[in-house]
Amino acid sequence: MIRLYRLVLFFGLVSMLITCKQPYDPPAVANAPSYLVVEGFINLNAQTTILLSRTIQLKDTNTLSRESGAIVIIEDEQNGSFMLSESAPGNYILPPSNLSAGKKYRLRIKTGSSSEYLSEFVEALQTPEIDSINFKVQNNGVQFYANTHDDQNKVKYYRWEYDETWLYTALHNSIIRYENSAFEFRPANLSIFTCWKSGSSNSIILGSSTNLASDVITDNPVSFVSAQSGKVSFGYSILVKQYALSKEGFEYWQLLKKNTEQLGTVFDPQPSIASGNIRCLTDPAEPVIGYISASTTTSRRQYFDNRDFPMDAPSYIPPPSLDACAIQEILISPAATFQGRADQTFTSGKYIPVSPISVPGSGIIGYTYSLKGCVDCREKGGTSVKPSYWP
Amino acid sequence: MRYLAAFFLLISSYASAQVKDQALISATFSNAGIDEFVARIEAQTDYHFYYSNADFDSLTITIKVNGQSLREVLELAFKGSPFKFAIFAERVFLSKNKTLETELPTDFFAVTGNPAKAEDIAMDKTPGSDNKATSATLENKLYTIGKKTNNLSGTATLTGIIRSTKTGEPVGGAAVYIEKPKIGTSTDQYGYYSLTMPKGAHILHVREAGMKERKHQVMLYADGKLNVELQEQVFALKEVVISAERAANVNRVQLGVEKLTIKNIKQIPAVFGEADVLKAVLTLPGVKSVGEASSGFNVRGGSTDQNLILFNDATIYNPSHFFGFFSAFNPEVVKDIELYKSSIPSKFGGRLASVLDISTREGNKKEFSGSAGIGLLTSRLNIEAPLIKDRTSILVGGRTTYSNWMLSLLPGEYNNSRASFYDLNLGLNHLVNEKNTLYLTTYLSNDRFSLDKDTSAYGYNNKNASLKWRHVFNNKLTAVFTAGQDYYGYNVSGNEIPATAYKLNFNINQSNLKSDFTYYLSAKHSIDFGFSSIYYKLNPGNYQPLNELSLTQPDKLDAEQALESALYIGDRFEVNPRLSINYGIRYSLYNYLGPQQISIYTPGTPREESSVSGTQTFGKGDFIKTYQGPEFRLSGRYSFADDFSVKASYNTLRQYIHLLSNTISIAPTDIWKLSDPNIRPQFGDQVSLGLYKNFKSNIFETSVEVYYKRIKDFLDYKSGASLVLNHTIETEVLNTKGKAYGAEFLIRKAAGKMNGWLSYTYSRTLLQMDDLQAGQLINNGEFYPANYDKPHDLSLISNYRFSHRLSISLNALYSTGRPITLPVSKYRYAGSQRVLYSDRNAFRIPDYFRTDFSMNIEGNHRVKQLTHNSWTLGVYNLTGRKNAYSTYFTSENGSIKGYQLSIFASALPFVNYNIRF
Repeated sequence: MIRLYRLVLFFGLVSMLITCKQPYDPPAVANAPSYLVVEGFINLNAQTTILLSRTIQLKDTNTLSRESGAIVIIEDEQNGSFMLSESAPGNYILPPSNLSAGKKYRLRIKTGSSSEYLSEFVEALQTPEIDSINFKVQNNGVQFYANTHDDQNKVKYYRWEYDETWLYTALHNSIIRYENSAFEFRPANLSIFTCWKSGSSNSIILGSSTNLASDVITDNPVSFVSAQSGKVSFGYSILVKQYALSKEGFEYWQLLKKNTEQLGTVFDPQPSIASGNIRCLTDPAEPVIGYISASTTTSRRQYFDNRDFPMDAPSYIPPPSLDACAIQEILISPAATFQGRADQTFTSGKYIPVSPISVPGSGIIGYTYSLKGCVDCREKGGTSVKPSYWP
Repeated sequence: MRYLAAFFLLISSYASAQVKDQALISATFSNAGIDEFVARIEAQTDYHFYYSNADFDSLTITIKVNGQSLREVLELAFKGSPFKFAIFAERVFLSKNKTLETELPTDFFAVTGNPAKAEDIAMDKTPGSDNKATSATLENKLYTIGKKTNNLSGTATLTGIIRSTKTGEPVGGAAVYIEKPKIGTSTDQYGYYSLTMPKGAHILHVREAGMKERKHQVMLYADGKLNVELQEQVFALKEVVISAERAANVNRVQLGVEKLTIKNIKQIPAVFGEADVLKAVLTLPGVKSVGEASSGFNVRGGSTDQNLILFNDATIYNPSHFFGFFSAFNPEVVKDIELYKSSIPSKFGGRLASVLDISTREGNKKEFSGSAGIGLLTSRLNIEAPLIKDRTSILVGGRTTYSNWMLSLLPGEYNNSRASFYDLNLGLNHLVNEKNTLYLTTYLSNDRFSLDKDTSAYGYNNKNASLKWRHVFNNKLTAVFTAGQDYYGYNVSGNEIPATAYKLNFNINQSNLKSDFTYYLSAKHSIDFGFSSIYYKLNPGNYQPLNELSLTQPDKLDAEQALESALYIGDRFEVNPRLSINYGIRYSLYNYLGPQQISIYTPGTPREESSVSGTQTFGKGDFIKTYQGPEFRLSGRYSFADDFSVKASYNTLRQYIHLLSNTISIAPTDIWKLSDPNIRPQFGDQVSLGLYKNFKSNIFETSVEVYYKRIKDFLDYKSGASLVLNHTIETEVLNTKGKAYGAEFLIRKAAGKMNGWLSYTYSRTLLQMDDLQAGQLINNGEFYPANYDKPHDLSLISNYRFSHRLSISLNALYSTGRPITLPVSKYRYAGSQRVLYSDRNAFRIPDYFRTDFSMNIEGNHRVKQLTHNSWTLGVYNLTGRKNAYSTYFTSENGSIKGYQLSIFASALPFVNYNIRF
């Protein structure tokens, strides 16, 4: 896109020449009240998870303030109710229950501070199946798309989330290990060369078919993976979860997206508050963040091999630098000090042996090793245990 | 011989000349000869007669008079005969065919060496009877207009042009009036006036700011012409405030009109010391801006694009240099500005909030002259000269900056930045003859910016040219025909990364054609009528790779075309000396023209890219959408006394072109958008009421004006709207309703050593977006303050003149802080940290306060010297207060911190050297 921000920044700087920048901490911000944040939805066909948290001050370095000890109840229009239990602080769950599409549900919350909150009744929607997940190689990366359709032409508004898993390797394949002050071949199931790492969507993905004659979603962008990210160098598995939304729900999510994902510079447009469908009964003026919807959920997992993507994707992204990952050697000779030297090198865990050095006729004369970050793939956050869904 | 004797007598008695015909005569003449007639009147009165027997030998007089004045008796006696008389002190001169002039003619001293001319003194030139206009230069002279008759019943129309003696330029806005009965008018911008009054003797007053007032004795027999030349006050410092406009505030029918001459503007301290037209406008009641160094201004709750800025009839789309640090108008060239806030004359239209009419001088028609100024960042030069003396003049003005030294002080990566701007004015005007005048004016302004020598560059420019032909059909009907071409465009380019090097252009062209007629129907009615037509061609954005190496995908928005036409008629009706009414109607018609592709949206759903159900393609010249409607302009004034009046007005306006900007002030990449099938024109109406009272012989002017304004289809933006290169721009804008109301108080001391004004404005501007159909509501559909809503605003502009050579000025400005939307807290949702914002514009930045000081030191005041020079010294933001310009929040180590940005955050001294030649 257009790199206008630099120009804008420049304008700001020209001003700044005769300008001064001072901390700005208005009372409205410094003493901002803390509001309840309700995240989750009423899941008809699986466990319902509602996460309760609170807004925190801007200058706070924490990321999440969980709301513990609340009573969370799903109510239907026939005075039926289902109480959720707190499985972890702020995390309230309900196992699959007798909730069905077409009925209307709402969520009631009583917090420990005896404030009471109630959502509007929302119609439970039936989410259609995901027809397929496809992709296009573009802009030096891979764009994944979801496709779906509703035979009943009813849903029209959709939201997606995804979990992604990709395979990656360390730079050096360690075939030996140093255990109990001795070198031994690494068992195949304990390889630390190949890892799998997972992530989740962190942006709001929406789509609608309102401008079409029938409720068909074709090629709705879900996730973009850049070639440089290292996620598509070997294999990539994506689990797309699909949720049907009402029109109101869709508009809420869209506004939330625009307000919180497309802002960030000085000259940004004016944002506005997004109000959802949850009200505070004890203090009607108190804003509540979040929108409760009810639906079934469908999902689809798809695996892609790196050969599926006709592009260059670097197979290894070095952690510190390639220089730091240079292979070093520890030689057995002089044998008298070998044990001491080996212990010193490997017991701290900073270095990991890679392979033996053998000379024809002399056998093993030493071992190569490198920094742990260049050898142990788990150092980059993945697991070396192959997931069950990996082909 | 008797002529000659009369002549000498005339000279000797000139100083004590006064008419004394009070003595009453009663007599009966029956076939009396001239000698008998004269003898009997001389017997009854102190008058002595001078005449030639030979001329009068054919005359016999048969009249009966009883207690009548000499004048009446003579008129009766000579009725229907070729004989004339002139009364001078106690002497009566009789002549045949030609009246003896009893006062020195204009050019008497110039022609004393020419006896033939001296003889003409006695000739009756009957001014106005041919097409030559008389030029009135002497105050005591009696100017006779029209052929003499005894019939002084009915009215006649006097027209003429008021000019400056020094430069020959016409004087616009000058008051031309008689006191008994009270009839007055003011000159139009070409100095033209037309005054219909009863036949007979009058004293014609002509007044204008900075000029010596003139009074002329006029004997009006029939329609005729009288040009008057006004002398400038010799010292520029002497009459610093609009003394000739005194009482004009009370008498003018319009309300919400502010006029500033360049002298007023130059008194107001401006940052960097250069007189700034737009910053001066900001000190007027009801005018605000979002902050320091912002290009636009807001009038009575209007947005920045709702001001029609006319520079010699050319529309200026970006009125500033350097993103608002300087206004784009060379102060050496500007003559005066007029700002219409509520009573907008029916000849203007197309914007909702105001008309800022900036006129430049026409250029000196008498001699070569000029002026120049040198400041810390800018310099300017202005040269004017006659090409044909008294007929053709040329004016050339230019201004440029050398601000790069300032930019080199910028930190690190920005100190290679370069900025430059210039503006050029060229004006030519030619007096073809008494009835036709031609004006050519051109304007060019250019701004360039580069971040680094080779990386990003940004530029914008205005180009305007107009040709005007002013024609006087007769002394009741005048017209001005104007054809013009206006252009505004900007371009941005960047090649920091060769693969993504790009250039982006935006521009707007408009061709104007208009004719404005003024018909002076009678003493009570002046009718203005005319039509105008504007053809717009707008290129909303063209994004192209900068060179062959660039991989940038080209993207071009289709050009837009539209035609905006209007017909108007208005009447300035003086019901009686106390009550005046201006009423008019303007009918505007707007056609959005092809070729164009229009997106069609699914009815009943918010306009989003996802709700486009199709597009419709229109061919070249197709009428895609037409909007039209009448606009009403009404204003009235009732004078309770000479120094007290009440005024009221009601106006409706329509606006078909909009500035799309979702930043707080006019920003580099703002674009203009024409109304189309998806974006409706804006509509506004305003009712206002004002009280005007002057005290102490008009030295103190006070006024209170209140207004209430409604705006329909004002454009506001969805959150996160992206406006550049957007193919479906209508999905990002919202039509909101607006209302604005306020009260403006003004006290002005117009004359004296200490002068200036104090104004206080209370005003609110509120918007509402409650159309669920359009998408998200803003603040739950409640009214919210507009970005430039600043309820309290206090300005003090003062000037103290110690002597003709030294004066000081002090400004003090206070206003409530601008509304902002604040991020108030943060939370985690849908996998990310998100920020919670307050209601839109729920908070305000800290209040604004600034004082400025400046000192004007003039060189000596000898009238005749090669150059006049002066120094302007001063300090901007004397108290060094750090006024917040904007606030922003950034994420630092997981915590979000707020900062406020202040521009001109310390006392800023300036110096300027000005020269006039």
